[in-house]
Amino acid sequence: MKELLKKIFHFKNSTSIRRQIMISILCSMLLTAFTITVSAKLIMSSMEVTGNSYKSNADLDTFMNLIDSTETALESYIQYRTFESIDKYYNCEIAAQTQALSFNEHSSEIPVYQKQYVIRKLSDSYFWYGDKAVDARRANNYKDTKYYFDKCLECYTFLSSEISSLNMLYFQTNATRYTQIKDFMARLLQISVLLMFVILVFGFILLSIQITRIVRPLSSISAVAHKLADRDFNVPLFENTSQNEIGNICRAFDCMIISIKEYVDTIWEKALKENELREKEIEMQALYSDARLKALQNQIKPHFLFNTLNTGAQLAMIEGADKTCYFLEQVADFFRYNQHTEHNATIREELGMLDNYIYIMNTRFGDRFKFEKNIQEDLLDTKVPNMILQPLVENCIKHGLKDKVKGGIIKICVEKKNANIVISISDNGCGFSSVVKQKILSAVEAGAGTIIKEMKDEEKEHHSTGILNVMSRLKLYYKQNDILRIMDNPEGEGTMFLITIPNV
Amino acid sequence: MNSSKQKTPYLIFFAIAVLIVILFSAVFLLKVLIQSSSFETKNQTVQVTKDYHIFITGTGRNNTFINKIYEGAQLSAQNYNAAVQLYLPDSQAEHVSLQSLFDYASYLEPDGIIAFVDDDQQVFDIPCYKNGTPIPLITTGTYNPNLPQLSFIGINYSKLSNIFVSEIQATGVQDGNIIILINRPSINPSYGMLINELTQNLGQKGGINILTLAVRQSPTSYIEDSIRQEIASTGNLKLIVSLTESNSVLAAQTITDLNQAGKIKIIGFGDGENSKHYFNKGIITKLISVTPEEIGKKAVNELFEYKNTGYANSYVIADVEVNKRER
Repeated sequence: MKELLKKIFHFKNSTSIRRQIMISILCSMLLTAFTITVSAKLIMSSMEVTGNSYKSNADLDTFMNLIDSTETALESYIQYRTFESIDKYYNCEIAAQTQALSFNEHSSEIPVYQKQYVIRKLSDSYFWYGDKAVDARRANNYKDTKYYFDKCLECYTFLSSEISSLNMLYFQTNATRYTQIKDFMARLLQISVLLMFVILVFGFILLSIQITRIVRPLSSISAVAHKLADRDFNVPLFENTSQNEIGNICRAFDCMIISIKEYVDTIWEKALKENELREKEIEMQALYSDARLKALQNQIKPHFLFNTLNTGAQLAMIEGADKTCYFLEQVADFFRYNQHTEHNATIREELGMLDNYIYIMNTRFGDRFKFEKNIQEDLLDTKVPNMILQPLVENCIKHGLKDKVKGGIIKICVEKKNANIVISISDNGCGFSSVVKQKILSAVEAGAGTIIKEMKDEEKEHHSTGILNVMSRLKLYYKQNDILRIMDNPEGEGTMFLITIPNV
Repeated sequence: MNSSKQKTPYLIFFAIAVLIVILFSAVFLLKVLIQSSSFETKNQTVQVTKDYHIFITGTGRNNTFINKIYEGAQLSAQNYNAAVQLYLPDSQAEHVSLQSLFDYASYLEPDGIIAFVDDDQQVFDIPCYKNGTPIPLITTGTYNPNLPQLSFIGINYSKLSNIFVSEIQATGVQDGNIIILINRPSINPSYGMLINELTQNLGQKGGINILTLAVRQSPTSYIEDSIRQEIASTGNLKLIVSLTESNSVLAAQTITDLNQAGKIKIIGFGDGENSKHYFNKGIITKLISVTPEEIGKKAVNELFEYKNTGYANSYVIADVEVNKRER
């Protein structure tokens, strides 16, 4: 039975949801159509019975009219003996006799059928006497004509009376039948409503079950989708093996869950690696910054020396050694400038600090070199990074003029060319090694730390540290690589440092 | 999450539901169709076709008596598979003659006629088939020798007269006048014999004077008036005896009109509603009736004996019982 039903309705795993819905709706429609057909059949039967209720009365009236017509025609023929009247008489007689055949042929205990039998017999007699009267009239037999015609009229009277009586019986019977039909229709309506209700309940249950079967997996899918939306990927797989739309959705969902899990794992691993790399980079940057800070701190004299020098100057002043006092003040001013916390300074301040430095160097080295300045006064208040001129001049003194016992010249020129401020510092010394110059430039491009490692030679290190510092800071300050250029002195021997500051 | 495992209960439920609905609808439809068709065929299925047609008729004055005959005839007709048709004028107002009733029967051509004939009915044309053959006729009531009747079913008047005599004596009337209401001088010899026996038996009582009063329709007055005059003029009247139902009712009405109810006793005859009405009121002291069903049975039997053998008894006394009603 189960297998048969499966074959009929194809309710197996391969049945699609669409087909299941279609079959359910089809079944409901069939049930409804069946009910409507039954109700229609019942209504039609009832209407037919109701319609036939008074048909017997109508038929009897027709019969009575025919009898009346024959009587009229017979009367007319007996009186006037016309062809029309005899023709009408025979026509009506045939019609009436034909209809009389529908009446009961035998007597019966049932009043209606007995009455039909009586009418049939009376109509036979009526037409028999009528025909006899016609025959007598044709033969011009007055006596027989009168006799049969009188008999015919008497029979007609009885016949009319019996037809009226039967008509009343019909009416009573039909009225009773009509009442029965009305009661029956009322019961029929009640039962039809009950039947419709039962079928509606069945249809509702069927559709409800089918919809529940369809929606239940969708609810599971919806719940899983909400979990996934909440980033909860720890959901079980559906593993639905049915070959319908729900099964396809479940399998697609399973594939999606698996893909999402794999993708999340990949992203997680990648994020871990990137995080690890970022931590290493931050650590390296911190080490680099720390090293760079230590290097700068080593370059700049601490406050202690500055304060000591001030104390020495005051002591020299107390002892009356003015020259010593002035010297110590210059040295102190120099170191005070070095302690300047601001990153910016004006060209004027830079040149002032440079004067202090030259005075100290002149006191130290005597007349080994001369310091010449060519300054365009309107450019003195231009902001520049601090401590950019002293390291260059120091490089000129320590390296460019190291072999000059006398006659060294250091020139500084501040001027405006085109839209830029150009500061040039030159010497007439031994010049600058191209190898060192290239390494310094490479070091500046790669970062200040690189050259420190490569230059193992202490001299070289000392030779280039100040320049590297100045170049790095100018690069950071002006965001350009070629602010400071190192070139041969165009005026002859020696080196020239050319600082080109954008006129901002 | 595997939702494809619950199809079997669904299939079973679906199959059961469909079967229930279809069965319910089919049974309902069948029932309704049978019932609706029964409206048309109900009478046809119970129709009993009869082989013979017996026609019972009589004048309207004896409707009650003829109805009883009809009931008896119906019982007996079942043995012959015959249908019995009763044809009576609806009331006396129609004044349908026996001749008219016979004419009707002639047009109807039944297998036999049972007719209650009054003694004042005249018949000129006997009931015949169209071929001129007389229709078998059984009469009752009053014997009419002019009718070509196969049989006459009569009441045992001798027995009936004895009943009347004994009942009159039982009233305790020892003297005074007794009026016997009779119809006009009857051509029925049995009826005359009944009257003679009554007068002879009651006349032998010393103090009792028997008076017969013929009830006849006067062209100038109602019957009631003549009876009232006769009764009022009769002194020391103790009892009125009526031999017909109609006369019994007339006597009761007259006694009531004369305010003599209870003082003048009435022994009536009949089983009709009017006579019972006066009997229940106490105006009619005793009511004697016969059982006409036996007449109907005898008549049908005689009719079919004639049909089967070609012969019938010309005079049949129905073995009737005489019933007595007394308050």
